[in-house]
Amino acid sequence: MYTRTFFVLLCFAMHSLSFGTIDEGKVARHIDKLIANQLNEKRIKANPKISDQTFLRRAYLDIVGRIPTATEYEQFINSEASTRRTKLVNQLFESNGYVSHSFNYWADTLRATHKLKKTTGSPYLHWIKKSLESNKPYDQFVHELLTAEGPLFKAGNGAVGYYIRDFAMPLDNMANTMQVFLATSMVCAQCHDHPYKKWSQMDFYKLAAFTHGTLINVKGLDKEFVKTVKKSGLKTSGREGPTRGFEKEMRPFYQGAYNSGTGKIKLPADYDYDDAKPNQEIEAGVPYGPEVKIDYTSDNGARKRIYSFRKGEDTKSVNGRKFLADWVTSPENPMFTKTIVNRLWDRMMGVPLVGNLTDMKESHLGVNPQLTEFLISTMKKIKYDQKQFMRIIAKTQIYQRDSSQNVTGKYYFTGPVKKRISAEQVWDSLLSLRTENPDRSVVVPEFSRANLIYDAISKMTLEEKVAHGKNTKPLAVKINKQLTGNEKAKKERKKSARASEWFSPAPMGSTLQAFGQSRRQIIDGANTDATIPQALSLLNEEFLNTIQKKSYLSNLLEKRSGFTAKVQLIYRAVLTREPSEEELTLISSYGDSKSKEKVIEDLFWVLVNCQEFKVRP
Amino acid sequence: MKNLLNNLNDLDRRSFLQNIAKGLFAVNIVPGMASAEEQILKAGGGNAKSAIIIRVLGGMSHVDSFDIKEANKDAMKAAEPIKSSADGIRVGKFFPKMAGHMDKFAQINSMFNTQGAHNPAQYLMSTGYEPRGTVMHPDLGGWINRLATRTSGDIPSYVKIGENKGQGCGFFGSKYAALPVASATQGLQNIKRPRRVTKQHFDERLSLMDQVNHIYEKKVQTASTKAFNLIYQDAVKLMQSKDLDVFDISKEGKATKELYGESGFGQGCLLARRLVEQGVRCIEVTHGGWDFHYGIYEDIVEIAPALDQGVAALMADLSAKGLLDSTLVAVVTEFGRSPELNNRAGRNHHPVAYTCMLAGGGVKGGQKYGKTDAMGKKVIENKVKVPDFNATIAYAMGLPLDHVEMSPEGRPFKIADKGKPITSIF
Repeated sequence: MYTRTFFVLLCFAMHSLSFGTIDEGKVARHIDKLIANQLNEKRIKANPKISDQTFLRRAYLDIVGRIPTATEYEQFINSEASTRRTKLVNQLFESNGYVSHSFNYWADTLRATHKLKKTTGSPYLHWIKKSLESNKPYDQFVHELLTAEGPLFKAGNGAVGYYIRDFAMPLDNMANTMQVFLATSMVCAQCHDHPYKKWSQMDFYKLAAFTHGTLINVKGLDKEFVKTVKKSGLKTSGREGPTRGFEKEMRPFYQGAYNSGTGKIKLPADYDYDDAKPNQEIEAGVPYGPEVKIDYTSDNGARKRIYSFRKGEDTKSVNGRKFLADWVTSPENPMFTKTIVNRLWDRMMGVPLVGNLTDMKESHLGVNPQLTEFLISTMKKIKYDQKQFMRIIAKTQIYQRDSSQNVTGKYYFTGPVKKRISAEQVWDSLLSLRTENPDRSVVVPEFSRANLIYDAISKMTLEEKVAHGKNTKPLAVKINKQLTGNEKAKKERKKSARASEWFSPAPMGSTLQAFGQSRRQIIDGANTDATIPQALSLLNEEFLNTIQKKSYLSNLLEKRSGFTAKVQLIYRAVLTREPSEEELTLISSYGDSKSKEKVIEDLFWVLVNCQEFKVRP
Repeated sequence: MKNLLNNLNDLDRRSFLQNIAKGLFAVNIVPGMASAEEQILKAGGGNAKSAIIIRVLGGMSHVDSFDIKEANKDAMKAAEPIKSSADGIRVGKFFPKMAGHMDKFAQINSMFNTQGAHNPAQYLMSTGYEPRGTVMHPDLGGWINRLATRTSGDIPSYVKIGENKGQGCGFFGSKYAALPVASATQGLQNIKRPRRVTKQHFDERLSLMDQVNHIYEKKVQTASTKAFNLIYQDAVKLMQSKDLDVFDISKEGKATKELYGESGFGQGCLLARRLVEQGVRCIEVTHGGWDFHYGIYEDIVEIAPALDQGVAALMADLSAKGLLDSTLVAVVTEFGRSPELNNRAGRNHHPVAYTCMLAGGGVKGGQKYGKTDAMGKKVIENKVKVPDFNATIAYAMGLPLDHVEMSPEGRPFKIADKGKPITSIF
């Protein structure tokens, strides 16, 4: 055991020595070369290079999820031309805006919500944000999600939300795991052999066996406490009188995911194939990639089992989830690295590298196999550093070319692809017109409110717990004091907070929902369809389409002297560019009979409503 | 419907239905044929051109309302059943006005929901499918919007009035989702021009926007920009449409407004009737607050009158205007409440036996369908599962129950899953 650990550590050390740092510029140039080779071969021309302005808007939208403010625009345009693009990219990836934008992306993909079955999802959301902020390597991120165990409220445990999210739906959870992390779509195989793919129902159940026996929200974990409460004559549950909320207050102690998987599962009662009988118990196995063998005589390092949950069923934990996580995140898994590379390429370029984000084949390598293979090996080399991977793409020449439109069929990466900005980007961009520091609201505290509650209650004596159950106010007051000013003031600042700081998902009727924010019910559920409520909100909602009095932008406007300078400022703020001659002529003829002030107001309204505002260039 | 569809081979049938789905039927598909939609309506046997779905949220107690049980002493004592306009049908005293319209309703007393918590149960009621983590099902209104042609001028085919907690339109996308109206008295959100912007000023802005867009579109034209152009046109058309008057319930006479009552729900029902006249295909009106775990009889008297008055007024109004034959009215709730009172004088969730009601659109009134046991605990006759109920609504509207739409992952879905319509109530 020790020798093996030592060996692993040694390999790890060597690994980091040889690949600890890479030259991002060099890797980016190689990507460009691989694309150029193919374009030459196919006699296709790459798109023209883009202006600094277009680059600025694109980089802000792709990396931090919003347009730059007028001030940020002017700072960029006035900075040293030869290095400003690289500097900007490096700086944006280190800002809170990156955490915010990435959170929106992963909350959509993981279907992460503020409301989970009978509990809050905020510790889970906090965990996701924290992981992105610390730039946790992606393989570790996934491994932690799949092996998460323990109380949801305990600091560092938020990842258990991944299982609580699919409470009572472990098979759906497994189907999603396969789709999100391995782009393997097996949903149909839950109930029958896949009609037009190779997956059988047996394949699916073998996978489901790994996580089988995972318990969600186990009541009565704190038996001693329950006993004391009963002795005191109070009920442990109920929603009225002195015991109201009692159970709720003790939730931190049972809500979570427990047991690490039995590695065995029974086939369904209507199993209809020749290779096994209905209700037959089968052992875990994987459909492709490195084989996994579980030693069923050992607990394989599993934590102590909580308790058996179904009579007559073997619920011995064999750490099945760890075996699953090891297999999923293994560099040898033919789908794992390819899936994340495909996703991140799509995030930056607006088009996938290989194929469908949640449904690919092992053999798929996309239109440029050499590029795909190089990117896969790069991802392994940089040890699944998501941020670095996207930073490399941002530094390529191909990313800095004009974006294509109406792409159909095979696309050979002549540049990125245009797309409508997401609901969150719409909201956050409108926010960038009202405030000088739109990212101010994005704060990821070391410990969430839930963590503090758990910590405080776990330090209580039994008597104190009973007292807390009766009256939770003193603890709430104490914890409010510990929270950072930002988290406390969140409610008041809602209208000036970024989308990532809103309730997830935002309520129906909100701007975010109108523009297609994901309801967080399916993987990548956001949509960019145009709808009437979207148009109506931009046409008529004054909060969105008027320059707010005494706001950041109106203050800037006041300081600009001359009509043209004001028009210029509006263009910089809303569209991240200078107005063209044609546009200036148009505006001056529009303004003939109007006060200058009115023209500026109208122009702002027009630009917020215009097509260009909603397009990631 | 079967005959008509059997005459087409499989491929034709598919594209035929797809065309209906897309609402592309500007001309007849086969020369000499009546409009395809009429054919389908005729073949399906449904008369309903529109459906008003009243969603009673929280779970309405069946033994206190429309499934009176002589043996259930607590319920009998508190609900003091009263006679209704239908022979041999009594209803709880909390619904005196609806009692006068029982001759128009078919009570489905044998409803059965597989879900016992509000959200999944409501999800099943509205989509016909149990919630899954892997797909978002379109709701019934979304299906109706997709399968029935638009007959409402500038107004979309599907409007949702009141509390809007819905899950949107699933994989159909926002294109088929309901136009939301948060409050009937306030009308459509953001439909009015910004304050201090005159009509002329607004038009000037629009024309400047068009010119700015025109410059941009010389370089960029994508599916998305084209969609936005259309949507902006639709939105502006809607803002200026005379059809918009339909949302202005202040146009109704004093007597009508009083008939429906002052409650938001009542006004919502009034708006629903106006939308039916406009030709809107599906209107949902929600009424919340029925989750009585504690002291049910103290609270029900507070909540029931608005529902009672609104629905009764709607029935009276629709029949007076001769619209009831072509309008299906469904009063639905996600589950019933436990026939025994709990120790807090409330009732818990009871999904295995409860009551929903249908009226109009060819449904025969004054009848009961399905039966529960003496206490109202279990279904003992003609169990109606949620997909069956939704299939009945689709059937009433003459929509194809076997029409398949594929989700983005290529999984097949139908308007009411595997539900079978209750044809005997028509």
